[in-house]
Amino acid sequence: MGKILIVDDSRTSRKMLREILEGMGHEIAGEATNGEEGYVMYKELNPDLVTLDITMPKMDGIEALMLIKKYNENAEAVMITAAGQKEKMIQAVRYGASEFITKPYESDEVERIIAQILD
Amino acid sequence: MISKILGNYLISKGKITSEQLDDVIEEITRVRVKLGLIAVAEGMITQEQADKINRLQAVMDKRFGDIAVIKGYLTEKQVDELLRLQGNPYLAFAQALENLNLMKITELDDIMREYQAENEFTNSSMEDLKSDDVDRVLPLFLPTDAAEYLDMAGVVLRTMMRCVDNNVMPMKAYFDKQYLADNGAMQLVEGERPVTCAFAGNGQALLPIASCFGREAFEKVDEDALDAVAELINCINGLYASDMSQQRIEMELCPPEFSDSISGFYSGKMLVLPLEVCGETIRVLITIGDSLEMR
Repeated sequence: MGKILIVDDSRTSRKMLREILEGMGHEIAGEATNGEEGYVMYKELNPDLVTLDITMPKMDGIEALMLIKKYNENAEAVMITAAGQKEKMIQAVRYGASEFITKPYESDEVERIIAQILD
Repeated sequence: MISKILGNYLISKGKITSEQLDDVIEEITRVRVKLGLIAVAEGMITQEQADKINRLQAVMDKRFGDIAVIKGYLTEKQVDELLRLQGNPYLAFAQALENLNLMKITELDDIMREYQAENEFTNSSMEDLKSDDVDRVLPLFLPTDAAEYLDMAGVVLRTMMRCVDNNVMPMKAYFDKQYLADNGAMQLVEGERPVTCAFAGNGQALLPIASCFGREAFEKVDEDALDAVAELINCINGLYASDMSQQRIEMELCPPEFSDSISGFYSGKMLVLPLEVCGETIRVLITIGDSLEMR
């Protein structure tokens, strides 16, 4: 089981994802509310995987991904996005995102994607 | 949807009570078979395919049958057959009234003629209403010059029905420059024609939506509850952006905003769509090309 950092400005979204991940047996290393905070926490906590919401104030998920990958090129990052953000998803792939999860969360889909990376 | 629309009319005419309408809706839910189950039972698709379609519905803003056709699991003809097997929503409503000894269909038909006359609906409009199809019902509640708002309003209604309350009921929408509200959430979607979707509430009206979508028993409409509403709007706008991208119109979601202490929403022009959701009436506000301010 892995140590996961959740980065999302929405409390609801963080809670929903946390419940799914903890249900899988993973440990939630921490939660950040924007990309800047997420990057700082990533360096402090060195999680096995970070989830990054794409649309966030202050620093979005793409920018945070770039910084995290620069810090650790092997970082496992899963981008979280509402549907219809194709351009952002292409950007994220370019910057090294491992996978995508689309909101609203489908537990089976989240479990499958996380298991693919961490197991 | 149709059960609430026609049911509320029956209540307003003193024909049934709201408790009886709740029983009718429960009766319909109890006996109405989902399209996926029928398709599996008829051997048209596998259970695995049905489960996959159900998962895709959450991110595609399309009906079960539409996704099945897109994926190649069913033909259009098979979907029509399944809909025929599922039954007519108006008749299901009528059957439920009869099962509960509340009304015979002949009496219901007479009352529907009164409803038609009061609303100045054509026979064709009444058929649209009875279809219970969002794409056919929604235009009946929008101003005639609101065609460009139909896409977004449709996504709102379908997502609400899927994620919050299957018996969401639209009411007559109108254009305005302001809507006074205590609290709300909104999100701008940037693009060639920016779009904003907002949910406006007074008092605790947004509470059921927050609790249902957030899967948390909020006690009041505070910032945590509005965060859940904002997240629902985020999902709605994502589905809208997804629909637009299929028309090669790229749109980008901005971070949502929300506040539990406002005077209202202000715009050069906004569509105000009242919706009854989980027994509360909220307003969905949509702007296209105009800005929307929450203050």
